[in-house]
Amino acid sequence: MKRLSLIIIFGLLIGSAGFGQEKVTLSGYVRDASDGETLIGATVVVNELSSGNITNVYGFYSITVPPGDYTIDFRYVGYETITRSINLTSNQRIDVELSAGEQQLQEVVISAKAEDANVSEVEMSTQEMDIKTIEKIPAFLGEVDVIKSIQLLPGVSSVGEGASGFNVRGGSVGQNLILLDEAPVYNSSHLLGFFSVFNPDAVKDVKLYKGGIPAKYGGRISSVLDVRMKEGNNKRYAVSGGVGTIFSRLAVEGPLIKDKASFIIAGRRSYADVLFKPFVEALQDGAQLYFYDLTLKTNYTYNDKNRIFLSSYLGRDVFMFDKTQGFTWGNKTATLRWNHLFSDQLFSNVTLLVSDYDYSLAFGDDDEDLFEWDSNIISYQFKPEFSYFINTNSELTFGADAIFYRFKPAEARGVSVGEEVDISLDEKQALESSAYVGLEQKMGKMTVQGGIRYSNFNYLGGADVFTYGDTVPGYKKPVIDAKETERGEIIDTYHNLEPRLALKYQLTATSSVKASYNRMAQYIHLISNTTASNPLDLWTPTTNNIKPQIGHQVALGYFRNFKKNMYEASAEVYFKHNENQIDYIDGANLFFNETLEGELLAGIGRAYGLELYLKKNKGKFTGWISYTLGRSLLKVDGIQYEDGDPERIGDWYYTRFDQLHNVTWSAFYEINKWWTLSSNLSVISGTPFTSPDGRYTQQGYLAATVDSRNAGRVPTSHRLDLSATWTFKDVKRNGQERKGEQSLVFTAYNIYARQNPFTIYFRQGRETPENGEPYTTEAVQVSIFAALIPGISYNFKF
Amino acid sequence: MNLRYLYLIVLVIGIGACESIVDVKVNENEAYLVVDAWLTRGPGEHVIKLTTTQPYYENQLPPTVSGANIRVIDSEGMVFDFPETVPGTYVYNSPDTFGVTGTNYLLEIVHDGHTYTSGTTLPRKVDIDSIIYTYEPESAFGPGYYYSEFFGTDPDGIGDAYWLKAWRNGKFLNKPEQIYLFFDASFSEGNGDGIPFIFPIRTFANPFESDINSNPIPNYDVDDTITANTDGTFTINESKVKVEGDELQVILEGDRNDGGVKKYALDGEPYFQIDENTIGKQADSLYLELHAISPDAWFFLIRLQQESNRPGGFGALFATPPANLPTNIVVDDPAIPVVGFFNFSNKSSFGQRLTPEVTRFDE
Repeated sequence: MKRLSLIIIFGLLIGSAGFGQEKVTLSGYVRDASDGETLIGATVVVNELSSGNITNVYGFYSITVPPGDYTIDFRYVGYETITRSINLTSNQRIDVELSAGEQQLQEVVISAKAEDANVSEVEMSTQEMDIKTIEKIPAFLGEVDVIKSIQLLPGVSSVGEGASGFNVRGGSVGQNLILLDEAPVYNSSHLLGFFSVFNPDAVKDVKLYKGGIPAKYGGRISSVLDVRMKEGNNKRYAVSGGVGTIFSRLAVEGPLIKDKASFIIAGRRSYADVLFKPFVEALQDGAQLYFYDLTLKTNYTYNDKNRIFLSSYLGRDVFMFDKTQGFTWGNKTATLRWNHLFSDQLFSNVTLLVSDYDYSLAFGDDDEDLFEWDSNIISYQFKPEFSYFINTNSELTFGADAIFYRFKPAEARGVSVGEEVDISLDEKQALESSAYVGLEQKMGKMTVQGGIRYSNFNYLGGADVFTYGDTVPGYKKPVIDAKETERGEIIDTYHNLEPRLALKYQLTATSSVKASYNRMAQYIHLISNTTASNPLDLWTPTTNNIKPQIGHQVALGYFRNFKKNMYEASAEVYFKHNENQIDYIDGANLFFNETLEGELLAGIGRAYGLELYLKKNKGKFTGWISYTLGRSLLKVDGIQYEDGDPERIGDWYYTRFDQLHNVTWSAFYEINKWWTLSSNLSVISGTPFTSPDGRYTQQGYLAATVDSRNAGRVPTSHRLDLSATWTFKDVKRNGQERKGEQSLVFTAYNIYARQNPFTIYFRQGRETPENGEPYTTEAVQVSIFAALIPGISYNFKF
Repeated sequence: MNLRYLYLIVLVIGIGACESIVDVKVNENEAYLVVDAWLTRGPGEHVIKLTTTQPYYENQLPPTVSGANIRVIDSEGMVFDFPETVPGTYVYNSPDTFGVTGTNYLLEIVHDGHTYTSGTTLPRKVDIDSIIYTYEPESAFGPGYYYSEFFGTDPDGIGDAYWLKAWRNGKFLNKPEQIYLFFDASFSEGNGDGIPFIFPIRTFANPFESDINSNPIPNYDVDDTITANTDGTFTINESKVKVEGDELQVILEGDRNDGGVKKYALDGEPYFQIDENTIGKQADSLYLELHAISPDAWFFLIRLQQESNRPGGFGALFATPPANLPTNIVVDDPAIPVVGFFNFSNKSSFGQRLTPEVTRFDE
């Protein structure tokens, strides 16, 4: 109740500001003329007032101004600007369709926003990439990949080549909120992390929030990766697809009812197993090895005020050693959205979604001896969101969010010589609910975006609830009480207020400074103590024993564009402080362990850094250089303590993904209509490893005494990737080009075959000594991709 | 759960991770006491060894520690002295069986003016009932082979921890990955109690070794007679071998030695010389000792295995951070470091050669 009244008061305050004089509203959608896709972030400028607005993620804009004659520009980078003269006397709806400009044929354009958005918008610490840019980046094995692409941006890194997921500003993989059309994706990798789950054919736009995160987002403390899917061509049928080194792809899109309803259906499947089946006996014997994903979206425009979207994703990795034994995992999501215009100024979207990640393993030849294990996390979410476009200077957003979680870490049974044991763990349930309000207010040179999010988390009963006794940090905590609970009973409750603030001050027409602060709460945790995350990692809720993670971040930036926005540059610094960061006791058992909570440790984290970014947006030669100077540390009692300290107070240590310097160069050169060259060069400081500082023997085996955690550093990594794209069009008899387009992409990943170090580990020599001979010991450097990896793919669009 | 399955998958797509030995400087900790006190119930010699830690790359035997006073006291008040026989080795010679199931034992070491203590309980003994060899026919993954399976049943009651030690053809399987550990009937606590040891545990003692030419050695096989090649060498497991005194030496092809078996003894386990041109091979044998150990010792060994058998190659993606092993040795001054472990195990044993009576064939 308190929340609601807060929102109302907020609304009234803002609303009253406009009462002084009569105002009218111009609103509508901006779309792409060729396929009817709505354009996100298109600029609508009222020339007489030198102000305007940009379209939201649904392509909607709303501008409220005093009545009068105006010339309005509708702009979108790479598209021809449309100018309309309008005599605005009453509220008016104008939907426009922009055509890809002539220039697009000659120039490569790599920004999908207003030309000077990076300077003029209040948003900072965000990175946006449209799919056209992502497709140009030389990709591993030639497979276009959303997540590998964003790792080329400042502040984004990974623990090393081949690792799944990504790290943002020193945060862990489990602290990123990955949204696919609003639905959270709990595991973003195919094949253990070599490929991400998003099908590029169905992706429209990707936006990463590293800081200054608006109040509408919550639930993870490090970043938000917002992936938006295409809506489907509503003008005509189109087919696109391709054959790559790993995947074959096919996407079909088209109108269901012209200009009212359209669909897109896109699928990918790895095909190595199909290709090799005749030659590999194991595949004929029932072994399976493939992964696929299917993306489906449809939308229906009921009338001017109502539009419905239904999107769904299904992805799966299948590895079966024979007919009954093996391992599969995958995500399923379904999102239903309803856009409704209450008025020309009040836009709303209501989302209902379900997201499910599961894996299952099965071993055993027969019913006498077998092992089966299924695990999943399911979430159901209801999310109403509202945007109120008060006038050209202010926009109010507010909404709410409720997520019901079901965690099923193990539904498992084993049979041994016919005797069966059920080793399932109890299902855990939780309800996360939140409400937010945010206001963006332009005041001359200053723009303020303020907001507050209230989040509440109820850990619900059903699973046995344990109470643990105290022990020296680093040892397993003893269970002192266990009690059964009722389904739905509230076991523990947490609340957090999450203030968000972003400020922009326009210094000149081409430069601005920005600052932001955000506090974020995270109530579900990815349990993983391995170097890279893997498909078996479990999500677990905040409970009576696990506290929510809290993240604070401040960031400060300077933004500057040059040469009529041909170049954009930015410099940002950030500092983060995180609470209740999860770590693990040595030898923690993460699976089939109902007292796992007793083996978790909690500590604090901090990260800070500097990000420099220079990007060339236009011309035959485009691309960017990014540099990140970063640090990421944790301090956890029970880890990294002084020898002999009975309290085991932890000292700061670097996280496994700490990288001091990270320089990335991505450049694209369009030679002519047919050929484009792309390159990536990255130079990254070594990540940490842990060394021994002594050794001893125990029962004939060699053991090491271990030095400070992550105190060693592997050598610097560097790698150059190149690709060349040859685009060709069929020519009709009369010499005219056909509409379709085909291309061949040649990729060389790691062109000079550098063996980049992933880690260094220590081991006893190959031979285990016998007859009392001494052990030999050695340090071993591991490189994941040690060779040049070529790739070729063929793509078509008709 | 064993993550090894995960990187098996990656190998299939054929991208090769690569390893190289590098020269990395490490710090040197000051040496301190290492206690190696793993006793086994039974008559005869019971040995405790004291050494010190040494620099990581010092490829010499660890320095021994002499002059300590060691004794073990049971909960009945009986005292067993461990006098030093050779430097660093302290031995109690028991005329009859040393160790009473369920009794607590206290270890006391006085060294250099400090007292080091530890305690443990002798757990109950659990028997192995049988060993069976199953023939796995040739498949897409390789040629046919026999694998061994030992059978036994975990008694009712959570908390039985086991260390299985295995000898194939009389040779102890001593690699870190061959520290075979399980808890009750399964891999860890709470996942199966009072039932027969589960399938993957039963098949622990299958080393799947290779020789130095990376030619696989049949896991277990029936008896055989091998006739000399024209040049006087013999072909065993697709590698050429020659007789050198009382040993069979594997001849290295090329210069790549990937580790693995270099030589076989000609002592009947399993090879023996019949005449200059003939070598006999007995059916392979397996001898097992099932040591019931304390849950703390089980955890120590789990950690020892994690630390001494670190995953390389793609496995490095799924490695956990290196960390010190636990110890159950307590020093009267907590500022003095110590490592090592005290355990008293109760063992049963079982041996079985591969004979038709204990062989089965899967359909």
